[in-house]
Amino acid sequence: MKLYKYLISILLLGSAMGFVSCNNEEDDIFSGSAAQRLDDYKKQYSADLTDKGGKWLMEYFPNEDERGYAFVMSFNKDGSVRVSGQNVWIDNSYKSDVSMWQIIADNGPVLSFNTFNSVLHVFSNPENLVGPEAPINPETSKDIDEQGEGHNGDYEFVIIGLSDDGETMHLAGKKRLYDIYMHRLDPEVDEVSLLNDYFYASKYIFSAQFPELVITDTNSGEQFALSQGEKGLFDAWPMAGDPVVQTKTMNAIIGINEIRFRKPFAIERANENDSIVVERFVKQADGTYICTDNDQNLVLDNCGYGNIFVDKKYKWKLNPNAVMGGDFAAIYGKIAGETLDAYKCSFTGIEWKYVGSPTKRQLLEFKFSRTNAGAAYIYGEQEVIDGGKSVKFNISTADGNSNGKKRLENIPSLVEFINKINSTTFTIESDKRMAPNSMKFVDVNNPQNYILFIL
Amino acid sequence: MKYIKYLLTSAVVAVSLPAFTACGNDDDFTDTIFPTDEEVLDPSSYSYKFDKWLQQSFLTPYNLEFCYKMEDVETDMNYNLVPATFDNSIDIAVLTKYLWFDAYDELTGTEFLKTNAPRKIHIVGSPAYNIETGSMILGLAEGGIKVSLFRVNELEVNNFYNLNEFYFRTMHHEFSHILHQKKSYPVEFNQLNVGNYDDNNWQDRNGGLVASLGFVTPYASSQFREDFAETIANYITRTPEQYDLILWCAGHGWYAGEDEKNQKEAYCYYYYKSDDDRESDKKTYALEFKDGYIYDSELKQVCRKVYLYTPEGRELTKVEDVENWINTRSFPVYPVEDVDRKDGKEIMIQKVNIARQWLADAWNIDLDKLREIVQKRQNTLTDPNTIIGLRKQVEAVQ
Repeated sequence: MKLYKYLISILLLGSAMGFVSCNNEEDDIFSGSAAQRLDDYKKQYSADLTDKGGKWLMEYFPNEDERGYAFVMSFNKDGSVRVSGQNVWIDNSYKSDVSMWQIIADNGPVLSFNTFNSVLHVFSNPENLVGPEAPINPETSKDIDEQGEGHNGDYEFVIIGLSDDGETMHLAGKKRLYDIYMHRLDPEVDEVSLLNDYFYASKYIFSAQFPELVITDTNSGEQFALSQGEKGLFDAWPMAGDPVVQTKTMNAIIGINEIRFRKPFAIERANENDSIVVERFVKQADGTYICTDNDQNLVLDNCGYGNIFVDKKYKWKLNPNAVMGGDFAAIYGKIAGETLDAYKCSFTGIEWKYVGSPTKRQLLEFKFSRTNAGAAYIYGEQEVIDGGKSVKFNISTADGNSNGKKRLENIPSLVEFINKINSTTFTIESDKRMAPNSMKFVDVNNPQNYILFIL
Repeated sequence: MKYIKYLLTSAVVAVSLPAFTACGNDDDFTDTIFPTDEEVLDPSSYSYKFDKWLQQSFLTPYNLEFCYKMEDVETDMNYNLVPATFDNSIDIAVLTKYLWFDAYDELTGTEFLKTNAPRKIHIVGSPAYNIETGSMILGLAEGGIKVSLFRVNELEVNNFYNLNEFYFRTMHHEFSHILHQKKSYPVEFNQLNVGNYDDNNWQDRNGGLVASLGFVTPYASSQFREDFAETIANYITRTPEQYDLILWCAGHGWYAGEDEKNQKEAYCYYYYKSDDDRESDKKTYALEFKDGYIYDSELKQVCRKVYLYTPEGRELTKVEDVENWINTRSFPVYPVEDVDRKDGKEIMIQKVNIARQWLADAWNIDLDKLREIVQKRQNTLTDPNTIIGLRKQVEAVQ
């Protein structure tokens, strides 16, 4: 009997639910049908792209193995778009081409560049890559045949959204799914200059000629190595960790004032349980870069000017017209005259370097225009100070090979110059902080006194 | 009590039943969820003249959409492809009209293509490369509905052989597919070369060698249906000189192998460079069928003309020149023994006869008249004013 009551209760409950389930008058969640809303988005994004002059900077990543590239795109209401760029794949020079664009309904609203543009579609063309940066098989040193693939770049982009201020559009490549950002530009911006900046930033801020860079987490003090990503491809690992197993790689677009990685770049800490995550480094006035993503405070800098300067592989030169200031300029300026008086030939400069054979020493080589005189070496030492940031010189005024000793005897200003260098404490600066192929040694007590060494 | 129980049960069941059935929705259909705005060409649009011309030339008369704005959903997404340039899109569109649609209209009247033309032509700027085989797709026909033409960005309107090899022949090839997809061709066609098809390695076969088997091109030797489409397309678009040379090749024996430098070679005549070579039977090609490609200074293939290559470096493109060369040698040259037991020339002629009869019976099309019309139109393209005149049709749109 009890069971029977339960059954009736269940049936009654089911009936009650049945009545409410028939209510067809729920409020619409969306304002229109999916197709209508997609159409509305197409119109809205089309208007957004052509609004305020319609000029945008696209930060484009064709794949994971090469740098990102900058394009300036001018969207017109007539369906045409002018795409401009400057990169190694279009002969390193500024190039502009007009083609067509459209917002189509696909995987949501999709920005499609649907007729060929020789600036943009070069990254989608399935032809073998040819040029100075065409990938080479490291084992055979022969060109890798990419026919059928090319760069693998997208030319259709799903529109993820527009920032609230309407200044940044977030896209995703339709086939490769890489995040692509477009930033609205002032229509009056000089795009030739802008693209030139990107081109040179990409090529010249970094150089494999120099040691790895250092990222310092200022919160924990931990340091990470970052390779010289001169081709826009960076390796990173914790300096206290194991580079063999902890190295991560990510490509980036390098602008004149920032480095943006293709996606958040997680670099393992030495303990392997945690990571720092970098997406964007912004250049500071002193040439360092700072990343403040995710409440971090990461500073990117070189490994210390002093550490770089003393590397035995570099030869630092002072030519006869070397840039100098203050006392250094005054003393150095006398060397040429004294050389002419003593040797009847022209002073051609000084090199500070390490000579392996036969001396195996750090030395200063004095050079003049007489070619049959033999090398003139003046021995010296250098010491890295200030935590790797600077160098202290100790150059002899008496010791060297026979020619070096003769120069010291016959050119008094040379001795005076060496004494001045030895007695000065320097700070080091460079216009190219990440790849300092010139270093300005500045007297800490008198900034008017300085020497510019050139690599 | 028992009655009450039944009543309650019945009442509950009676009330419950509609609950399970009342969800049927008898509302009338609502408006379509899709936007109903009619697409109207905008005279201020960048592509207005071309779009209008396409509308007037293809959409209105043939209900055909000529799609030049690349839609990757219309292609195999596994390929990396790029769109055609706007200028080349115009050129290929006017040429398609002139060499394909107008040619058929001239022969059959407009109704034939209204009924049988594809509903969509989709053009693509790049080839579709098959990475595994190293081959490239020049065209596709799908279900009688759509034809895709590739490699449009390499279009050279002043290079007849390039146009013919990569576009015109492709158009007629793909249209042949559409026709036989609607009405099957005689199965006896498939019997002529049973056992000689090779779908996987056709691209490695030599043109002379496959001709001696009865195939007009290496691609024809891939499958029955490709053979059928190639037979028609080559007969229509090859110049008589070129077609006769293929037939001549088909009537000879061929050796295909590798030379001393491990380069592929195929020849139908050979000679001995010296007595020592003769003694050791070391043969040297006298008439070689290269792959037929000619390269420009940037090593791009610019055309694929059939020619026989001589030791002196001559490229012979006519039967008359070939036979004259053989007969005037100061040194003896020898024909390669025909060991394939196939009369390639006869097979090729039979194939054309089958296609000719099928086109006449199934479609009321005279293959030879069609060939004549297409050849006449193709020949006008050697005059640069032809393409200029065709482009003017677009420019003149108001």
